[in-house]
Amino acid sequence: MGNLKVLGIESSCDDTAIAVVEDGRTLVSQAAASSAKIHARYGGIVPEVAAREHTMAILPVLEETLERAQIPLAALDAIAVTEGPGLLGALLIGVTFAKALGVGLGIPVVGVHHLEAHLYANALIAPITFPALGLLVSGGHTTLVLWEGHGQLKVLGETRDDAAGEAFDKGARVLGLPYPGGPQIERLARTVEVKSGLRLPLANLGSKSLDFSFSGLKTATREMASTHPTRRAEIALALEDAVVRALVKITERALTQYPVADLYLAGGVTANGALRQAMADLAARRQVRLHLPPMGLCTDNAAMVAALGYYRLGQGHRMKNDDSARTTYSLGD
Amino acid sequence: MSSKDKSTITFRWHNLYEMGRVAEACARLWRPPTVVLFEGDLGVGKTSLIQAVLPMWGVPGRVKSPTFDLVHMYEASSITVYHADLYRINQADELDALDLPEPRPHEILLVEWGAWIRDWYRERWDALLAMESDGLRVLRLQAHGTEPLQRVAEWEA
Repeated sequence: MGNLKVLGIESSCDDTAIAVVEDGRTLVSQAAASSAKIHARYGGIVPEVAAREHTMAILPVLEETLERAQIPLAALDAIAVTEGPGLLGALLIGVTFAKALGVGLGIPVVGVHHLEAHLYANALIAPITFPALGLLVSGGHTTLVLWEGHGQLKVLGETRDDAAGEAFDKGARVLGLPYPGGPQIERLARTVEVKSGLRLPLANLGSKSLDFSFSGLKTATREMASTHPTRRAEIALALEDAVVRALVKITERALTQYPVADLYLAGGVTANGALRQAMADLAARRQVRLHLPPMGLCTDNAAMVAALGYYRLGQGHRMKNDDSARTTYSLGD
Repeated sequence: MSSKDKSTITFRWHNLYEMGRVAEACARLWRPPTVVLFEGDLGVGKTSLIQAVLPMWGVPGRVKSPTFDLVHMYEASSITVYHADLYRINQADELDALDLPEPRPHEILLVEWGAWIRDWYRERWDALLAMESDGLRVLRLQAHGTEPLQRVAEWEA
């Protein structure tokens, strides 16, 4: 028997993605259909649109994944699927598809937590070194975890209001930029040649808190944009700088409280170049190893689902017949 | 801090302490079953006000922005709160997918960017938030329907 091939299925939000990963480590192939273009028109994720898109996309995406891997369905050893959290209609399509495929092929199916899976994008580079700190930053989440082993996560802090990616999305809307806001803000910010004095404030939640707060940035960005209507690029830079500073500050505080040697980033905002640089500087300063997911696996993908699924299968987790999607699913639950 | 006419109560606040007082007033005015539809510019404080109201109903834990997830549900001992956000909605037929409830006796529905669904609820509050000079926040709370109008009539500004 060769390597263990796990098929990963991700449909919790706007992408229908499927991947084959060997031994939780090696990405064999992946394919995805994104409804991001449709969402761009709506300025966000719309559940009905998402569910319809997933239904249409899931079978062709599976076929494409297997074709790229040049393996038949029968070569799969197990299936991992995102069971939550996420939009009900979207999750149900992935979960139902996975269960049916599992029954048809007579192979085990395991459900995984979407956010925990994001951390496992890092496992596709090298096995995770525990204990570690993990920082998940995306459009819907900003969460800091103490990660002591496979399946052993403790939430140390999270956003009290808006996620970091939401701060980018809403800031972009204020500046008249399209969705998703993160890459747009970054692109506009890079056009600033001489750094100006424009600065947005950071939330202060107390000197020991490991929580985040980004909702104040909306008001501050809006006010700055109306005071300085011709300085949009500088405002984009100020917004990016405020988000990055907040993330670095709280992560550094967590490293002081939990002095581990490894720091893992995950989630779509991890694609931001300024954040990557600032975290690299932090890691050098604190002498910790910084782990960044592969650039193409920062946003939602199925490789991370398959990678986490591999470890959960090893621990004996299986999805039962009556298990369904879990729209609200706490990390570490 | 507050003033009223026949159907509208107006609150004004300058800081978090005063917002807490307004939240207390809202928590008393909005009793289940009810619907509150919030409108107001990005960053005016819709979510912040809701975050201040929910603990007063005994909702434990954190109240985060529902923009990404669209609907969050909270359960306390005698009340269920749906906190929805229609910021991402762009056309009316998308609303059906959200399964927003007609509130049952123990339920409250709070909807940010709620103007979309005004026609759905005859009995409701429209909560219009605005920022005036110097960060002064104004909440115009308009009662629609028998029960909310009755609450305004009983209210002592």
